[in-house]
Amino acid sequence: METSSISTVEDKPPQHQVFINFRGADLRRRFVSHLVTALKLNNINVFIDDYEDRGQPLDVLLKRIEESKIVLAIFSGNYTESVWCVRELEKIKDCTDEGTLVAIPIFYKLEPSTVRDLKGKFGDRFRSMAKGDERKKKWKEAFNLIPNIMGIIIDKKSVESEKVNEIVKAVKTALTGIPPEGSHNAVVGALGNSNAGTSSGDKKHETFGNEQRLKDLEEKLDRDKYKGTRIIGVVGMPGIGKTTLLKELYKTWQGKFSRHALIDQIRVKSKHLELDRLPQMLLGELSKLNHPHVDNLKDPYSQLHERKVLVVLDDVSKREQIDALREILDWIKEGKEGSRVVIATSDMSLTNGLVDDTYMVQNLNHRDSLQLFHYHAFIDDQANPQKKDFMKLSEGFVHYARGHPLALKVLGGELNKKSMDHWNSKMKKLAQSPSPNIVSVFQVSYDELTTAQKDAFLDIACFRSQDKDYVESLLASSDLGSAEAMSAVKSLTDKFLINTCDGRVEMHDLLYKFSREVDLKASNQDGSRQRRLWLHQHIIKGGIINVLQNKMKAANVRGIFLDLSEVEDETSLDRDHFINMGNLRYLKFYNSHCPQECKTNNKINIPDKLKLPLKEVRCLHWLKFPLETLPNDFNPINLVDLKLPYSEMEQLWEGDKDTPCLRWVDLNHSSKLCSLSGLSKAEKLQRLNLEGCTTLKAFPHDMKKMKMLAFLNLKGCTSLESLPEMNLISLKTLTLSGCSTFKEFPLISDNIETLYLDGTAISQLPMNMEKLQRLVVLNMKDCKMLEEIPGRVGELKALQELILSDCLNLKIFPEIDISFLNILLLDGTAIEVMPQLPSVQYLCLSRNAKISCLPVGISQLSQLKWLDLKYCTSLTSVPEFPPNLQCLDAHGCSSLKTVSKPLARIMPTEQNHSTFIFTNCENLEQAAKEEITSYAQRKCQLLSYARKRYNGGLVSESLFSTCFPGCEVPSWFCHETVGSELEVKLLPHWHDKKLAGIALCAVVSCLDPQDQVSRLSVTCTFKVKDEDKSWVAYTCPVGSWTRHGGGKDKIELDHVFIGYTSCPHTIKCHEEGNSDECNPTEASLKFTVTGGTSENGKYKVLKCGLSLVYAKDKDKNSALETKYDMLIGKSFQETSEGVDGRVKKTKGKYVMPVEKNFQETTEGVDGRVNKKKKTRMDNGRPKKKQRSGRDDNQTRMQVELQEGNINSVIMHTVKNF
Amino acid sequence: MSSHTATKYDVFLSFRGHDTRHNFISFLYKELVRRSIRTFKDDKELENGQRFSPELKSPIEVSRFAVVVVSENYAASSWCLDELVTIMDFEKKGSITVMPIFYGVEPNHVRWQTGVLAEQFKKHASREDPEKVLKWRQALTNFAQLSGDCSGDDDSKLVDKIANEISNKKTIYATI
Repeated sequence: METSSISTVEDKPPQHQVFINFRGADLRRRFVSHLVTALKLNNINVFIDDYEDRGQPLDVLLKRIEESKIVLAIFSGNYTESVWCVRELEKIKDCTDEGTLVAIPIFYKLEPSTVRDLKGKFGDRFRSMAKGDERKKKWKEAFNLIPNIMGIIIDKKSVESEKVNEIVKAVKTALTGIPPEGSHNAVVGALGNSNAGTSSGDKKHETFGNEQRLKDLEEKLDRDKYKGTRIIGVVGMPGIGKTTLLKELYKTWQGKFSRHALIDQIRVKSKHLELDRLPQMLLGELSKLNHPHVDNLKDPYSQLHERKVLVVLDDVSKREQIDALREILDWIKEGKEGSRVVIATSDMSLTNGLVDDTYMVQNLNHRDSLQLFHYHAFIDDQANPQKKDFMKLSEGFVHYARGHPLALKVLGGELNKKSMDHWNSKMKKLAQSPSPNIVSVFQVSYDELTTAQKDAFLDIACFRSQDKDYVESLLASSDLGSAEAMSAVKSLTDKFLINTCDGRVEMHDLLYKFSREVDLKASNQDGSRQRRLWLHQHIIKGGIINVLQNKMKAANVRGIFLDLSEVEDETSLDRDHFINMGNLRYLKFYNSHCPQECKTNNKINIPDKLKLPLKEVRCLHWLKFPLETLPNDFNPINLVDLKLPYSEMEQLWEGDKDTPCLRWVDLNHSSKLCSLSGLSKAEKLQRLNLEGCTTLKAFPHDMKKMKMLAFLNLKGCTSLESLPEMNLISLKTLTLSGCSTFKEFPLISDNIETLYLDGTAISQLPMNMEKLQRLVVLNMKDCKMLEEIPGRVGELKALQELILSDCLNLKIFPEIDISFLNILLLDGTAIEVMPQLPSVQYLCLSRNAKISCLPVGISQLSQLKWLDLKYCTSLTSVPEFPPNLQCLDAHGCSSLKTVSKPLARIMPTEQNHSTFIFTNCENLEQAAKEEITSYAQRKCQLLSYARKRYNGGLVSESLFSTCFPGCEVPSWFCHETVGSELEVKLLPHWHDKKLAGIALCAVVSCLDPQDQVSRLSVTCTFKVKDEDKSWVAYTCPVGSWTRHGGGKDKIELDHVFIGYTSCPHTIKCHEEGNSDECNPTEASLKFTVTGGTSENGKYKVLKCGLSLVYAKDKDKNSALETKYDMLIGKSFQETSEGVDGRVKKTKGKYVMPVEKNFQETTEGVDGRVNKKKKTRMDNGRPKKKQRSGRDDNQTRMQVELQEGNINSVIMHTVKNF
Repeated sequence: MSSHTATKYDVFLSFRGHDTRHNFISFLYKELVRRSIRTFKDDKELENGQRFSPELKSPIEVSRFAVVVVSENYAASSWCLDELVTIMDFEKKGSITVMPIFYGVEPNHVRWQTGVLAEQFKKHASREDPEKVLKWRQALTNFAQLSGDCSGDDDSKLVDKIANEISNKKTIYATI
């Protein structure tokens, strides 16, 4: 088992010690004697008290506890008789609180509750022993706490030898959590592996996800690619699997090198050994000498020079360790090419300037996590019949571990062979506090931090997921300057205790839980450590906020975070409560349930003369602060973030106070706030939120000093009349929305990018507004006094979005050219001419009663994608629309009669999907409707070319849809019927490769014309009979209409919805599989229409239709052909439409599909003849141009008819009625 | 030892389940098994008061050693005593080597049935056939005369010692 160990025996530092705390009289000769034997048998370094000389003072034993990593506390009947036992227990509690010790309680023929609550004789003995002792209370706490740790119960029925096994296993599990000192067997295989002998056995199976990691790492070490010597750093958070990876690497690579060495656990080794032993060990290993002597070094060095070597250094924790090995590393570097050095560390900064490349070990993915967890949870029992039931719970644990291999391993090991109930309760426990074995892993990294870094780490945990800038500002202070704060964040990032991505500081869930645990443990003992309190039960007791209940010194309180949503009862605050909290940095009374924090009732009663003599406070966040002003003794000298939403404040504080650090102020909805004079010295202020401060009238003139202010929100400050003259050079976003008495906007900054003036009373834009060269968004919605937009707006070269909605009096929009303007909203205005801005993509003109026609030039606006003409009630005709228009909404254009012919310009390279809505255009002429349908057909055909390249997609995608008033299915639909269900017989090979899409049509009628809806959508379920006679269903959208921006409307008329959707890939590929078979198929379509959510059944599908659209071969001259197609298609459509319409009227509807096909019989004969000669349908597809406008299916249908299926088709169609 | 060509077990464990099954015996058994010593330990704890059954006879017959752990309540059980009588019979024949373990009881008390045993035998005398009781007494007396081990120092060491002794003797027998 020691074969894989590289270090020689005498190098082996002492192993972690396991201390047994027990009542000798009860157990020494019996149970404990067996336990000790078993532990020793498993190479566990165990200590029990009779190994010390009898009569030595107890202090020696207490010291021994300190030196130990694990304690077994065995509670037996007479335990409490002995003051020694109890004093040891007290020490154990202290050490576990410190996090330096893992305690495993063992209940020997006692109930845990008996111990916890000191019941029965056990308790009686305690009371008589501790009578009058002042330590009694502390002891009681220890009894209270220790039994809560998961332990082992030995009752009357337990077989003690089995329990001993269990304990040994638990100890080993706990030991794996602690980086072992020197011995391999404590790491490998100890977890959950009852057979201690197989530690170095087949590890492959338990390191899921390691293969990929190894591959990635090997790539960085590649000997062919990189000729010279290469040093690679392997970095990652503690427990992420660096050691496992390195061992695997060493195993597979050592054979390729003539000299190789793995030095593991350098962190631990250098703690116990002199640093200069490291090079000796490495050299010894490389030269295979057992005792390299310093004077002998020359020889191995020269050996190194001539050979390719592989050196693997695991768990490097300090720069000195590398420095100690530097000389050898340099030798290797200068030596033979092709040598490799791999250094693993959980502190990335150590690899700076040392390595050629770094491999960062990432979290495991979900699948590997689950496998790893299962491996350990069911290690002896891989075929557990109940396993299935555990799967769901497993997911929870895997989620908890967030891809952290060690956590998965530890949890799996702890749950191995345990009952479902145990799993459940473990899950609950984990939510409270992390597993001690996981804690101990992070503890090692944590312990190596400096005090400032420790504080930063614990502080950051309180502000999870915040902007880096914010975190650094909070951490910065007089004692830790901003440069240092930055370096604290940096070094924590390097050590993988936090991560910064996208400018945010984040913390791994396990580390977060660890940090909370550490903070909790800092506790109340000697008070050297500061604490952050975030649990309401620690803050509130008996209706009073009292964080000092645990004998904690006021000066040690560093943060108070009270989530008011967890506070149920009214709570009061003593006026002197904060009096000695000179170190309080973070004070937050917030509500996690409602981020707007409007609903929370104030549950904290504050006395009038509250004392707040705090000067260290960085973050003061107090929801609904009930006083008129912050108390006079409050000193904001260090204040960074002040957030007092919904407060009762009239002003911040009386007089001037220095606020050199203040960067964020949020006083939203403080409706009594009337003076901001307190902020006059806030020169570093960046964000100021005063939303809803309804009594605020003016700003102090000193405000011009706020040169850093970037964001100013004054939304809904209904009393605000003006802003002072100033130039805030940093201001980027200014919100004055809803400042209904605000009349004149002075240019307070040239650098504004976003300006909200909506709902203000301003009547004109400032004269010098062209200075706003960075303005991107200008929102003036609902400025009812605004009459004119000056031409100067054209000077705003950066403007992208201009919102003038509901400016009722705005009549003229100037002719301007702003090259970036792409959103222009003019809905609800009185302008008479539609502005033509070539850059605009999104133009809204809805609810305009003046515009009667649109300029012809609109067809040239190639950028225009979205044109909203809703309720333009005077609009009578529309010109040709531009080619890239994706959405046209002409809903409710009640005067609209004609559309241009063609409706819109079609580009041969058409690819965009588009939607044209003409709902409620009640005066639309028949010719216009025909143009719309014909356009729809052309569009479908054209799209089919373009879509050919995008063969695929699992869902059908809507490519084009339109709707307009009408009651007929257009004639180009080759299958149609009355009602909402359509059944068709599809020809063989109907879904071959050329099938580009499906055109669907539905005529929708409203059953209750008075009813108002906000949304209407038509879908079709398309079912095809598969080879094996089962139905395969697809859902395709046909079309929808939505009343944008809320509101409802009536849809009185019948409407035609036409939708063209791409063909789902699934339909196609199942043809490809057996294209030689020639089987006709049945298809069934069902159309449904829904209006909103609760409005089902109010609409009805009167008629429906289907047409399959095939892409044509167009190898040559595509553009020409397209043009030709278009023309022919159009003329063809016009004639046949007329004919069709007539026929329909005379012959009735239900025979229409057949009728339609008959019309083309003469043409069809030619086609059929062609087809009969060829075996494949696609070869027989009509080549004549004039046919191409029509759907090929019609031709197919004819063939079917010719072949004698006519009856079935008729029957089929009739059946539908 | 020629009469013992087909020993099935190396060790037969005799003990009072109530006293030692879950603790001392569990460790002893585990250690013996660990050392590949074939050990018989009855696991189907027979109901209290059930008479010594013939099915248990055979394991004693086919075992080379009998480790008899006499604990506080051993002699209170007629079942244990019957078993002991059988063991002592085979001991006399020389087919089995008995190793007495006095677990928490004085060898002298066992030998003369004094101390706790006195009480227990008072009860036996009142309900059992005097002849049978006499047999028990004789068996105990003979048993306690054999050299054995006492618990006292460290159970774990005791287990080790027993296991060692058996290992050694087993090897000696094997070489004979």
